[in-house]
This record gives sequence, C-alpha cells and structure tokens, in this order.
Amino acid sequence: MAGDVILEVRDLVKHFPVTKGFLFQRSVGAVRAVDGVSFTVREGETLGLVGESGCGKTTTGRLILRLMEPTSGEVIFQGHNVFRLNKEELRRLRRDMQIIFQDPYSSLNPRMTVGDIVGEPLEIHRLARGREKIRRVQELLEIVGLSPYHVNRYPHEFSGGQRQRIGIARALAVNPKLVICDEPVSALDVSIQAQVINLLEELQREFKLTYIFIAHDLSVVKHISDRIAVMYLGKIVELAPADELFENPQHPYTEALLSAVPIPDPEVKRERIILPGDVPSPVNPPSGCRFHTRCMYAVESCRREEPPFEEVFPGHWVACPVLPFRHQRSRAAVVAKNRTAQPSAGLSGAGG
Amino acid sequence: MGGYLARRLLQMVPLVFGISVIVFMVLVMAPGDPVDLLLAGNPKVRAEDIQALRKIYGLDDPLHVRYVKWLVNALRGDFGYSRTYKVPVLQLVWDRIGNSMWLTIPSFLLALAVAVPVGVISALRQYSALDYAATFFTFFGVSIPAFWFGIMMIYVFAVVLRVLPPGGFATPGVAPGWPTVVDRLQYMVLPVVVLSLLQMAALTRYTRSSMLEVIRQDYVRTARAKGLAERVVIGKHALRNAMIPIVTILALGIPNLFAGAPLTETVFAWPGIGRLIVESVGGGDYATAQVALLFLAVLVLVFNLLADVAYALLDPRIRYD
Repeated sequence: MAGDVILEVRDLVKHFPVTKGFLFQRSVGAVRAVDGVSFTVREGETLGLVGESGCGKTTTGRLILRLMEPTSGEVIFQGHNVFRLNKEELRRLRRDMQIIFQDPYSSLNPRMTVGDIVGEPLEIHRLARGREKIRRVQELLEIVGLSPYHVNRYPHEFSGGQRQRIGIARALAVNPKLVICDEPVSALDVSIQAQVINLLEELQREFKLTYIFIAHDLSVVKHISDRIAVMYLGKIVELAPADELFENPQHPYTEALLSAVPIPDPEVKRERIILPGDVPSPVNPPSGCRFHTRCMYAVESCRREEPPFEEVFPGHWVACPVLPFRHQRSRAAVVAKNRTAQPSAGLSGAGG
Repeated sequence: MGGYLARRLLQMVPLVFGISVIVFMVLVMAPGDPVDLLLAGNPKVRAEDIQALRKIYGLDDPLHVRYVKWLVNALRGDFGYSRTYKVPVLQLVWDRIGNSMWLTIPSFLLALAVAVPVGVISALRQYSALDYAATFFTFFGVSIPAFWFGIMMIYVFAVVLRVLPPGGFATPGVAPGWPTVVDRLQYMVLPVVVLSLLQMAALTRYTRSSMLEVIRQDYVRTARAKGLAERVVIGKHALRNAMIPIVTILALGIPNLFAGAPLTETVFAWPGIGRLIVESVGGGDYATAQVALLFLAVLVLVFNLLADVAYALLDPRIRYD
C-alpha cells in the first residue's frame, strides 16, 4: 500500500547554542536536540516517531516543515530540498506539508474565529475566498466532526477534543499530502484520544494522506503506524515495521520502552525493564553509543564507537552492534531470565 | 455588556461623591484660607474685619455645612466663581482643559507612534544593538524628572540654540491663519516632547515585553505553518494579541498625561489645567481647585471603565455580563 518515497530525511542535525555571560555572550556548548537523523517516508504510510521527552522528536518534526532552520542535513520532499527553498517556494510547500500541533489550547489564535483560523490558509494560498471560503470551512468542520454553525465561534468556546479537531481541519484545509502529527492526542483525555485517532485514520483513507506521527505513547503509535522509528537523545536507534518492532525489538532501549506499555489484563504479569539513571544531558551526550550509560548489555566498545545503523532484518534497522551479532547468546539468556518468555524468534537469521 | 456598563456607571456616582468629599476636606484643611492669603502682610486690617469677611465668604461655618452648601450648588450646576480670575469656575476649567489638549493629544500620539514600532522591533530583535539602545532610552525616559528634562530642553533649544520659544502659548499679535498655526506649533514642540517622554518610555517597555511573550506562543507558530508571510504573522497574529494589554495601559495613561501636566505646564508656562491646579491650590482658589481636581478624578474613573470595555472588545475570551 505504500507508494513512492515522498519524503527523505538525510543526516538531519539541530544544535541549540547554550550561551553564558553578561553583556558579552559566548557560546559554551550546544544542546544536540537532533544529531544525525535519517529516514524515508513513503506515500500513504504512517511513520511513528517515538521517544522520551526531550529526545528530539518534536524538533525533527518542526525541522521537516522548516519551522526552524537546521544546523545541517537535508530534507527532500517530493524531489525538492526543503532547506533550499526561497520564501515563496516555502509558502507553496505549506500547501503540501502540514502539521497538527500538540497543544490544542495554545496553538489556536484566541482572537480569531474558527472560520478565520480554518479559512486563512484557503485565502493566502488562493484556494477560496468570500462565500466559497465559508462554504469550504463549513465542509471541513463537518469532515472533522464539528458543526457548520461553529464557524463564528472562538476557540475558547470549545473543549480540548473539539479544539484539536479545529487544528486538524486547519491542517487539512489546503489538501496537504503529508501531515506531521506532533503528539496530537497527548493533551487529550484518553476517551477523546481514541476519537481523534480514529478521525485521523479515516481522514488518511479518504484523502490519501501520509502521516508522520510523533508520540511518546507506544500503544497509540502501534495502533496508527505502519512503521515506527525509536529515538533516543537526538538519534534514531531502531526503525522497523510496527508489528515487527513490537514482536521483535532489537535495541535494548526499545525493549525497555516496550516493557513499559501497560497490558490491559490484570492476570498477565510482565517483568518491566527498569533503566538505571536518567536520560543524560543532550548538551554532553555520552560518547560512542549514547545509550551505553544505561544499557544492561553494554560492552567496552560501546563507550568508544558510535554504532552503525544497520538493516538486521528486511526493513528492520537498528543501531546496536552488540545485540544482533556478537552477543546473541548472552542476550537471549538475559531476555529469558527477564521475561520468562521464549527467546525472540528469528535472531539466528540476523544479518539479512 | 449593556447591563455591565450601566452597573459600572452607577457605581461611579458614589465614588465621585466620595472623591469630592476628600478633595474638599484636603483643600480646606490646608493651612491658610482665602482671607488669610488676601490679607497677608496687611497690618491695617482689624480682627473684626477679618471675621466679617469670613462670614461673607461662609468660611466660619462648620466643615460639613460648607461641603453641603457647595454640593447643593454644584448639583444645580453652579460651581462658583474663581476668586483669582473672576469668571465662573466651570468656564475657566473648560477653557484650560482645551488648552491642555493641545499638549496631551499630540504627546499621546507621539508616544504611541514611537513606542509601538520601537517596542515591536525591540522584541523581534531581542538583544540586538537596537534593543539595547531602546532599553537604555526607556530607562532614561522613566527615571528622568519631567521638570528637570523640561528645563534642560529650554536651555538647549531656547537659550543656547534659540530655535524655539522657552515657554508660553502664543506670540501676541501674530496674524490669523497660517502664521498662528505655525506659531502655536513652535510653542508646542518642547512641552509635547517632555510630556510624552515618560509615556513613550513606559509604553515601549510594555510593548516589548508583551510582544516577546506573544511571539513565543504556539499560535504564532501555527500561523507560520499555515504559510503566512512573516509580515502577516507579526502584524496580524502576534501584534493584535500583544495589543490587548497595551490598550489597557494606553487607556490608563491618558489621565496620567493630564495628571503629569502640572509640572510640564508650569515649566513651560502653558495655561492648561495642570497649571490651573497648581495656581488655584497655591492661591486658595478653593472653588477652582475643587472642580479641577474633581475633573482629574473623573477622568481616571472614565478611562478605567474604557480600559475594561476595550479589554472585552479586544479579547473574545473576556465577556462581562
């Protein structure tokens, strides 16, 4: 079902300078929010992007849209490098690439009516104006499950879920091809989350949308994604088809994350993998593999060498040299001890 | 909104009464009544004459009787005569307010025209050279006393450079028409600049901080994501939200301009309401001082109400009922 490559991200880097000093500021370092991220997205698919707070997933999303300028790297969207576009071309890009923001409360201008918020993109991209614009806005409101008579209301008159629907209508107004969903349900009640996710899925089918779905809630991401990328401290550590990732996680960080997903059955007990310590500061990330400070399988070389991002199964990429190749047996033993489950199948086929 | 307005206007009535009582008492309790001032340094006046004069002016009545007399007359529309100018107080105050407007309105507009753009650019280029310059200027503006700044301006432009008149309102004998306009403008320049400085500095500061807050809001990022030109993002989405608190400050700043006028008007010998207050209080012209001070109080009340109304009009999240 996935078509041609619509988006390619190559070695994307964003460092935020940390400055110090009074009157004369000097740069004393950089927060490495995104530090070499690469992936591709195919037309019609949903790529999930997961990771803890501060791992750089939101920054990655904003860089793709060029809502901020990167430190280095490339984003190729439909054959054009997003960072080379001039102002006018960038404005045209906004028709094809849109974003749904995390916070439905702060991301809508409080002084504008719903009609203005949703209708403004139509006007500036010369898609509709006047009565035609209003009609289109009302249509969009109906598509996202609101009522046409809501056009003259202000954002504060709506609930969180309704406001997020307004945000979705706004993003869809220009008929985009790619929509970056930046934690679109994190700020909503669980009962509302399901509604909004189902809406996003319906819209994807109806309008043939491509999604990049950023979230920290793994069960949400699993539900909606075709493929999932796991980020840790500004890097992607594992990228695999959704089911494959959940059934056969290769990176120890992914494994720990998955063990934290609650199982909706009180009878089932699972050993949670508790990672020691906190996420290190992105100002001075650990050398070598960034996860080595908290990794239970880490060996000496993890401290020195940055692990390559390799395809260990078809479509399954992971940046951990220890597990899939050199220490298969010892890992299997640890896994067996921790989970009292059978060792992950298919490890012997590694290297494919 | 209509009910709210009516309620607020009704609340003003007892407030104005209360203020008039306080103003009256403060004036009367100040040492030296009109008769003292009238006869000061005149050794030939006998004590009986003083008593007689006091009786004529009604100054020997108890305080509350005097206040009620004033109030009853005032309610009938009679605010008394100015002892100094020998004209009805209402007419005098009205004329002087008109004169003051020659200063307050231009200085308000000047403050607005400079402060909003400077504040916005300062916020957009935070920590740039321009921002530091604006910050320095605003600290200068809020900390410098108006009378001292006024005197310095007179010294530089009227005494040393001799390009502008040092004070006053108009040159006598100027032909009507264009020459009068040009003449008036020359007299206005210095007091307008001095009067607007404080307002300008404070407003720049408020605009800057309000703008800094707004441009970091998520909905400004949303506006960029829509593909709006940066000019529209700033002008329409950011500035319109940033102006909500600014409008309040503006509305409250207008009475401040009148209240700040006594110093400026005295320095520049401008015959406005501010100087009238200084003169009438100092000269024991109770009837005039009472009305002039009451005018300032009512001005504060009215603009407070206007600020609240503007708030509701500008911010759809605020509704009064």
